Amino acid sequence: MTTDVIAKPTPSAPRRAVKKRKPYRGKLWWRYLAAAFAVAFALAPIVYVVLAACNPAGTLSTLNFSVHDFGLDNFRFLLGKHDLSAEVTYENYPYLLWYRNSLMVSSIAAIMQVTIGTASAYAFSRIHFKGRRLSLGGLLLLQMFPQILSFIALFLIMQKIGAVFPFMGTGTWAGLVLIYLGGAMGYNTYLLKGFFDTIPRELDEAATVDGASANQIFFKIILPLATPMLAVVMLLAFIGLMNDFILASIFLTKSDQMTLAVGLRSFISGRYESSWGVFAAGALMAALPVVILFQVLQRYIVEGLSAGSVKG
Amino acid sequence: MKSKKNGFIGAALASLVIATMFGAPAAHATPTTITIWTDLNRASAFQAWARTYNRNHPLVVVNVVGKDGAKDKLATVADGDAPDLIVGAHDWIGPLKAQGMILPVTLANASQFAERDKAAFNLKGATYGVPMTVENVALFTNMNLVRKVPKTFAEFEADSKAFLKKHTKAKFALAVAPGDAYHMYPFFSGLGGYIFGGTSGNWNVHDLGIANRTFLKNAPLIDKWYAEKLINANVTGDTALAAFTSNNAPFMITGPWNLDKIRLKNINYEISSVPTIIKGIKPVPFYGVQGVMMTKWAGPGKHNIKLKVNGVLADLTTKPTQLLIANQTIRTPANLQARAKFKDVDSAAFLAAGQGAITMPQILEMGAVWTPVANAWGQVKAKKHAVDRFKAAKSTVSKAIK
Amino acid sequence: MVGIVFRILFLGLVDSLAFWAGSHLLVSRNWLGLVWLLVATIAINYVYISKRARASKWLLPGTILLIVFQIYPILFTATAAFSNYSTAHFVSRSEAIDNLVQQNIQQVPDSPQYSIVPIHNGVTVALVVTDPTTNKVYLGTKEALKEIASPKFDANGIPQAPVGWRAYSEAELNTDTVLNNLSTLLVPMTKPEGAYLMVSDFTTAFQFASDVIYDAKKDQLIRQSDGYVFPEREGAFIDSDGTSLDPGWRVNVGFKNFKSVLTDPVVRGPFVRVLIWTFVYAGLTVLTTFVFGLTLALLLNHPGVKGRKLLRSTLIIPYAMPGFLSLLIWAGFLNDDFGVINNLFNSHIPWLTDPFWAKVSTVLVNLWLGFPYMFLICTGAIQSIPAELAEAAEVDGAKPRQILTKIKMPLLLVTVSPLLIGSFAYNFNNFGGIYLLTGGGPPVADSQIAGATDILISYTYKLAIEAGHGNDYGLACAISILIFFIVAGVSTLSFTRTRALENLS
Repeated sequence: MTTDVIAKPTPSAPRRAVKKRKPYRGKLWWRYLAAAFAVAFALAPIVYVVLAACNPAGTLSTLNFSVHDFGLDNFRFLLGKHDLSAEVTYENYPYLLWYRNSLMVSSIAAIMQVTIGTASAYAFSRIHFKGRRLSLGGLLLLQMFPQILSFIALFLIMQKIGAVFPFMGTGTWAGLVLIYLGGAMGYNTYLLKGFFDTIPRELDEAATVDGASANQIFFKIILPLATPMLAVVMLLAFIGLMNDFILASIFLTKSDQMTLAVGLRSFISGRYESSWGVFAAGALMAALPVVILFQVLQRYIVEGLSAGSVKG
Repeated sequence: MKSKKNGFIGAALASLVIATMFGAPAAHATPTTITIWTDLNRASAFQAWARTYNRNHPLVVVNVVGKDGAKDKLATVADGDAPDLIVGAHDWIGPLKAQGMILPVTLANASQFAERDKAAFNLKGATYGVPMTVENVALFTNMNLVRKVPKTFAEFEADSKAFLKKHTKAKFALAVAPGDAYHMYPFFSGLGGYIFGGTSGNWNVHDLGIANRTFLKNAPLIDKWYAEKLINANVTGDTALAAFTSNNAPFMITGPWNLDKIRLKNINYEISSVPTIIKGIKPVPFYGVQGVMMTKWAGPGKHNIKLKVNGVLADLTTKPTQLLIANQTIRTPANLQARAKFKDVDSAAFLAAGQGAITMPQILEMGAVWTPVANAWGQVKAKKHAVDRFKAAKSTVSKAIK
Repeated sequence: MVGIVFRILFLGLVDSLAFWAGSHLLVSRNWLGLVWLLVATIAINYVYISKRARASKWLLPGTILLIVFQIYPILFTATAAFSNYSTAHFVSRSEAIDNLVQQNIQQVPDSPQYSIVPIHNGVTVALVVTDPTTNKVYLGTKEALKEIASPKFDANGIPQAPVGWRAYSEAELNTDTVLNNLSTLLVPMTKPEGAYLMVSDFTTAFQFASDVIYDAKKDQLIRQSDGYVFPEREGAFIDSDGTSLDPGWRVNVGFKNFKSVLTDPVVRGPFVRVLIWTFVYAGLTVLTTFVFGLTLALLLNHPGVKGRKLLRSTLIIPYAMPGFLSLLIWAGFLNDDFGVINNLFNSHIPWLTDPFWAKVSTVLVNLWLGFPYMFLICTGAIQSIPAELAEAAEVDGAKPRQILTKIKMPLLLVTVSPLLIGSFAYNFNNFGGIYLLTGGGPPVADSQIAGATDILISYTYKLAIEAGHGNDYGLACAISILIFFIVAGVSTLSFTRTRALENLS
C-alpha cells in the first residue's frame, strides 16, 4: 500500500469518476440549481460594489445610480491617471504603492508563516513528545483570547525592539512581518497538522527503517506530498494578511508605507465626508490578487487534497 | 530642496565667518524638521503653506503628514515618527491633555482672535491650540424645490409637507442623520436642550441639560416630526448628502465640509439658520474651532526645537497664512483680519447661522455624551416616545460621569 | 553533511546577532532585555546542537515568536486589568509630573507681544526687549529688566545691542547651546508680580507665570502662592477644590475593575443577556457557514458538474474582499428605508432596527463572509477521505445517503472539528462583525449601552471607550480576561467531547 503511493502520484479521482458517473448523471440539475443560488448569494453584493465603483458619487445606501454618470474615473484615479479634485490626488492617495506594499508584506509574511507553521505541525503530527496534547490545546486556547487591547502591548514591544534593531521597530515592514509571524503557530498549524495526520505513518516508518533522518523524512517524503496542502494554508494566510487592518494601521505610520486595507480606509474615514465610489473601486481591485492566486492554486488544492486519499 | 541647499550654503558661510571672528565653535546649522499631522482632507492646504514657510526659513523644514484619526494615533507612535504639531478640532484637547499628549502653546497675535475662539482652546486657564478655522452646521435650502428660504418653523414645516405631498415616494424632507447628535444639535437646542451648564472651558458636568424640563415639555414635537416624515431615522450622512444633491430633499443640515460636493452638483442652495421652533428659544448649532496643537514631543525634552515650533505656530496665526488655509479648505478663518478678507460666498451665511452657537464642550466627559444622545434621537424603535428616550439618555450619561 | 554545515551557519548567525544585540542592551543597561536574549540564545543553541530535543527543533522558532507576540500581550492585558489604565491615567508618574509642570508655565492673559533681539556678551545670553505699548527699549537679563536710556536703531528700526553686547547671527542662533540658553532664559518682571519674560521664538517674547513646582527632593508637587502640597490619590494629584489634575498616571488598583464588572448594575445588568447572545451568535455562525460550505463542497465535488473550477473561484470572492468593506456595504444594503434589499423586493423588513431582525442580519452577513472559508476547508477535507472506504461500503450494499452520513460525515467531522472550535472562538470575539454592521444596536430596554446584537467584546469596547472620563482600558482588560475564561472553559469542554469522538472512530 505504501509503495503504491509513491508509484502512483496521480490521484485516484479519474478511476473513481469512471466508476461513479453513471448512477448520478440524471440528478445533476439540482446541483447546478444549488450552485446558481450560491453564486447569486455570493455575487449580488459584489455586483452592487461594481456599480458603486463606476459611479463618481457612489454611496452605499442608495440605488441612485444615474446612467450618464457612469465611468471609470474612480479606477483611473487609483491608477494615477486622473486626479479627482485638488485634495484627492494620486500624490495623497498612492494606491499602486499601497498595492505593492500589501503584496510584498502579505506574501513574505505568508511564506514565513507557512514555513514556521509547517515545521510546528510536523512536530505535532509526527513526534511524540511530552505535553504534545497539552500544548496543542493551549495553542487553540491562546487564539481565543480577546485581543482588544493587545495592540498596545505589541506597540511597547516593537518600540523596545526598534531601540536595539532599528530596521525592525515600529513603522518598518520587517517589524510588521515579525508581528504577523507571532500568529504563525495558530490555526495554520492546526490545519496543517490535520493534513499531515492523513499522510500514512507507514511511509515514514519505512523510511526510518531505511535509515532516513527526521529531516530527510520531512523534506523528502512529507513535504512533496504536502505541497498542495501548503497551497491551501498559504492561500488562507495570504488572504488573512491582505485583509489585516488593525495591526497594519498601527505599525505602518507613513502614507507611502500603508497597505491596501489601511489606505482604502482613508477614503471613508473622514469625519464628514467619504468617497465610497473610489473606495469600492479600490476594494474590487484589492480582491484581484486573491482571486487570481486561488485560480492558480486550485489545481493543486483539489488534486493535492485527494493525494491523501491513499490513506486507507 | 532648493531652500535647504541655499540655507546650507548660507549657514556654512556664516559659520565660517563666526569661527574666524570669535573663534567660537563652528555652528552646525542643520535644518530642524518639524512634523505636523493633519487629516488628509486638509493636507494639501497645509502643504502649500509649508512650501512658503520653508522657503522663508532655511533652517526649518516643516514636514506636513496627512493622517486621519491623528488623535488616537498619538498613543501608538514611535518617538522618531511622532508629530510636533497636530491639526484638529478644539474638542480634542480634553482627552489629549488628560493623556499627557499636548502642552500649552503661546498664542501670538492674540488680539486678532475672537474671545470665543481662544476660549475654545482653553482649559483651566491655559491655551492648548492656535485657532485656524471655525465651523458650524446650518440649514441648506434647495431653491429648486422651495420657493423661498423658510423664515419661521411653520413655513419650514409647510414647505416640507408640500414637498412630501408632491413627491409621494420621498421618505423625508430634511436631509440629516438623526442618529448624529452633532448635526441634530440645532434642533436639540431649539427645543430647550443643552449638554452641560456653564460656559466654554468652565463646564459644570453636574448640570446636565439633556432632559431638562423645558426640553421634555417640547420633546413630543420630535415624535411629530417623525410622524410627518420631516426626518427619518434611517437616514445616514451619506444618504442625506445623496438625497440633497440629487434634488430629492428640499432641506439639509450640514457644514462647510460638504460645500464642494454640493456645488459640484450645481444645486441652487441658500444657507440660513434653523428657524425658531419654540418661542423665545433660539436654535443654535455647535460651534467648532479647528486649530493646531503642540504635542509633548515638542516639549522640554527637545529644548532646541521649542523656539522653532513656536515660530511655526506664530506664523500660523498671521493673516496671510490663515487666509491661505481658509481659501484652500473653504472654511472661515479664525484670525479676524483674515476673516475680513475671506471672500467665499457662503462664509457670511455660515457665520450668521452660527450666531450664539454653543462651543462644543472640550472636556473628557463629552465622550460619554455623544452616543446616548445620538441614540435618543435616532433609535426610534427602542422606545416609542422621544421623552422616554431622552430621559434614558440622561440617566446613562449621568451614571457614566457620576 | 549539508545539514551540519547549514546548522553551523545558522547558529553562527544567531549567535553573532545575539552578541550584537546584547552589546546594545548592555550599553543601554536594559538588564531584563539582556536576560531574555540570553535565555533565547541558549535555548536556540541547545535545541539545535543537542540530539535529545527532537520536537523542539521544529517548534522553537514558532514558540519564540508566540511568546513575544501573543503571550506577552496577554500578560500585559492581565496586568492592565489590575490597574487604572485609562485616558486620564495613561502615562507614568514622572511623565505626568513633567507635563503638569510644563502645563503650569502659562502665558499671562493679555500679555503684550514683546519683540526681542537675542544678544550675548561672550559669557551670558540676554535680550533687547521692546515694549509694544510704550515702545520703550529694555535690556533683559536673567537678573532683571532694565530700560536702555537712549537706544540706537538700525535701518529697519530694530534696536541694536547696547555697548558690550552683540547680536546673534541666524546661524549662531541655531546651535544647540544658544537655543537651549535662550529657551531657558527667564527675565523677571516687576509688573505683574511673579511674572517673567520668556522667549517664544527668535523675535518675540511673552509674559509668563508659573505657580506650581516639583520638589524633586521631597518628591512633591507644590503650589508656591499658598504652599499647598498636592496630595496623591489613585494615581493623580488632587487640587484644593477636590478635583484631580490631568494627566494622572497608572497605578495598581487591585481587583477594583473586576469588582465593578461584577457589582456595578450598569455593567452587570445586561451581562447575562449579552453572554447568551454571544454564544448564540458564534454558534449559529459556525453552524450556518459550516452547513452551507459543506453542502456546496459536496455538491460541487461531483465529477459530472461542469465548470467546477470557475464556480469555486466565484464562490471564493466574498472571502477575498477586505472584511470591513463588506460589512460596511452590507450595513448600507440592509438600511430599512433606503437599503437595496428592501427596495429591490419592495419589502419593509426592519433589518437593522428590530432586535430580532438585527440578529438575523448579523448571522446572515456572517454567513456571506464566512461560508467560502468553510467551503474551502470542506472541499479539501472531502477529497482527503479515502475513496476506497466509500467503495467498500458500496460493495457491501450501502446506499449513497448511508455512505454520506455513516462514513464520510464522521471522518469529516474529526478532521474539521478543531477548526470549527477555532471558528467558534473567532466569532465569539468577532468585534468587527457586530460593530461595523449594527454598532451593537438596536437598543434594548434593560440597558442604554448594550444593544440587542452586542456581543461581549463589542459591549466591552463600548463600556471602555464611551466611559464617563475618557477611555477605560483597565476595565476593558478586566472584562477581556473574564471573556477568556468563559470561552476557554466552553471550548475545553467541547474539545474533550471531540476527543471522545476521535477515539470512537
